[in-house]
Amino acid sequence: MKNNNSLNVNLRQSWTVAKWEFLHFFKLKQEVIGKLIMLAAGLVIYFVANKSQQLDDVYKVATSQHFEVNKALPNAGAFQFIKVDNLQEVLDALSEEGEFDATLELNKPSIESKDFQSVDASITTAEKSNWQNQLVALINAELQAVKFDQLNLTTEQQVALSMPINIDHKVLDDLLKNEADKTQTITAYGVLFLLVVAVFGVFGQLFVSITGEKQNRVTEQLMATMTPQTWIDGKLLGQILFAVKTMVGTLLSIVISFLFFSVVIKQQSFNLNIINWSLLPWLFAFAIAGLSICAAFMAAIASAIDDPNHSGKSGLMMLPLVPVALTFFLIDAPNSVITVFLSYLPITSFAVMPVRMSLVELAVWEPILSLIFSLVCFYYFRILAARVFKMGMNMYGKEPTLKDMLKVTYKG
Amino acid sequence: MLKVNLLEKHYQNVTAVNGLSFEVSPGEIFALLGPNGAGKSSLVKMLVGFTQPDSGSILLSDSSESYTSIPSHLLGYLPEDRGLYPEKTVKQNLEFFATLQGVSKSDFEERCAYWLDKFSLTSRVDEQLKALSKGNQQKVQLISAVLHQPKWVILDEPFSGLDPINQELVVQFLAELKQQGMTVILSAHQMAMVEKLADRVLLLNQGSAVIYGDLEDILLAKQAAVIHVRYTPDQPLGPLDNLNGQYTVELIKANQLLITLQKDQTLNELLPLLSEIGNVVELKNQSQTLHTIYLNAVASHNSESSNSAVLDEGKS
Repeated sequence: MKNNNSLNVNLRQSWTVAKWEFLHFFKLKQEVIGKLIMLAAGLVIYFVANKSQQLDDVYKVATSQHFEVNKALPNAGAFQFIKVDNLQEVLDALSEEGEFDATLELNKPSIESKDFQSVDASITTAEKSNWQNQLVALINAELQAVKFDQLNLTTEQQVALSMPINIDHKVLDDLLKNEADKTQTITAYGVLFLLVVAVFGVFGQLFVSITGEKQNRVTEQLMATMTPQTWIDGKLLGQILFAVKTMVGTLLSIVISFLFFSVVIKQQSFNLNIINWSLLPWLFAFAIAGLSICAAFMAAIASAIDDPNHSGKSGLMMLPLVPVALTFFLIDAPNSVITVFLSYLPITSFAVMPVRMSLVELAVWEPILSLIFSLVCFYYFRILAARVFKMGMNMYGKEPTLKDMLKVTYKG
Repeated sequence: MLKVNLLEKHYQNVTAVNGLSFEVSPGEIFALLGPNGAGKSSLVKMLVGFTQPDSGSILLSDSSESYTSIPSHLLGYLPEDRGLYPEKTVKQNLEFFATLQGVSKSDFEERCAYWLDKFSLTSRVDEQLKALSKGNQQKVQLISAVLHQPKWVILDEPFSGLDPINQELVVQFLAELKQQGMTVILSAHQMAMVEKLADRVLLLNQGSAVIYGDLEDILLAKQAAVIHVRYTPDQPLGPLDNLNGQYTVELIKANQLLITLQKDQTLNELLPLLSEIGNVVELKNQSQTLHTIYLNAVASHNSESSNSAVLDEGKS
């Protein structure tokens, strides 16, 4: 009964610290302002892009030969191609404000000469401007159509030639997934990227939070109200929640930006097939496990820092990012002994296992076992962090050495 | 009841607490005195459970439970090394600590309003803590230590950094805590304040107890009343032979005397005798205060320690 009561008190206090920690860094006003700035930037991009694609003016292009474009092509109405007798005269006058905006010289016939490397057309303008991209696109489309006509290609042949080449690469190693699962790798790396963003956030915030409390001399009063373990647990929970918020927020921003550019700007269909949704819960579980381990490790180091301006330990806080970097080097050999080992080692598994999962057919127990190892590691890391914190608090302004920290890991 | 028995704490080669034994009864104000480095903070850290004693024991009996340090739910603590969250408002700081201690929202509102009013801080409740003076910040921290109405309150140097007016406010605050039934363990250097408040005192020096007991008893035992007399005209002690027979008289100057009254002697008997020596122009009570008792006790203990150290060296 007494133990239950004590557990309830510890949970309540940890939750209070977690909320305090989360809200300390969560600034609603700044979040709203950030999103509004993003929205404004998106709208600006939309209008600029829209304006640059749809031309309002009509541009006159002087040519030495007769040239006409298919009226059905985009922006065909925005350009008038006018044959002149002396193109050089127009060229000379181009820099002055005259009748023409550009000159076009056509090098016909490249098909007959079989000189496919030669330039098909040359455009000259006085200055650089957005409408010239539309001109190039228009001439390109027209000349390609002309080439197709010269070759007497059927419509089907023309379509076939316009299509990009798809090469399917199959690997005979049964353990490796084939190219069709590329979305899994993209999703795994995407989550890894989000994890790096979140870990950087946790690094900064834990550092500021723990050393700040020490500098503000609030720790002793806190420790008189709860145990160091309760305090560390609350801090870690608050930071993990904030990191999840960061990851979800960043993911949403990326997805919305992607949709904005593909659907609104490029006017393509709504498509999120690039994300492998079935793998996502696994990746999320590993991301949480990784965040927890990184945060507990960072909390232990930050707890040992007394003066953030003069401590040499700050750099150690970034050690948990080493496995993420390692993953990019190891991933070419997802079944090598070292990669398999690292996918179970708790301090690296959160980065290595998800990427392995995307490349190799694994039995379901493998990621589960890896996750269990991670959770056990986190359980002990948080205890270590609390011990280091308690030791540092009683050292009266002196910092514990790495040797002291290792000693306290075993002795408590 | 808090019982401390033969408590010892060493840090490398330094003995911070050396075989301390004392008791603190519920509902009293118990003062820990001593010069810097006497071992007060080391003792406090063991009482609140931050550190463990090397030997000896701490036993707190509360209802049917017993503890080896004062548990957090019974404790209100103002550390010597203090501070709160400067970027947060007064109310946010207080609410955070109250919530940690399980104080309900309605109780918090009521108690917060009460203590803020007592310390004239009501109008500043929504200001960032850093906007307050150091003294006011200290008052906020005092409030944060007692919002959960703990049974035991440990205050390490609650008067330091406060002006005399605010020191008086803290005296009233502590008196009210006692009135509410809280037990207060107080570490302080302001003897005048301690003399006003404390029921019992423990004077530490070099980790050992030098004086321990009821403050009243200590003040009475350490002194008989000392009266300083100034008179005209100047004259030698000759005419005061009458006095000398009954009192201890010391001639300081040709016109000034120090007369020590024993416990059974009163001024009533002395005054007619004084009129014989001339015109008494000034009569001052120069009895020993806690301050002088403290200074004398520490000096005497230091001298004994150095003598015994010399003896030890001689033996070796």
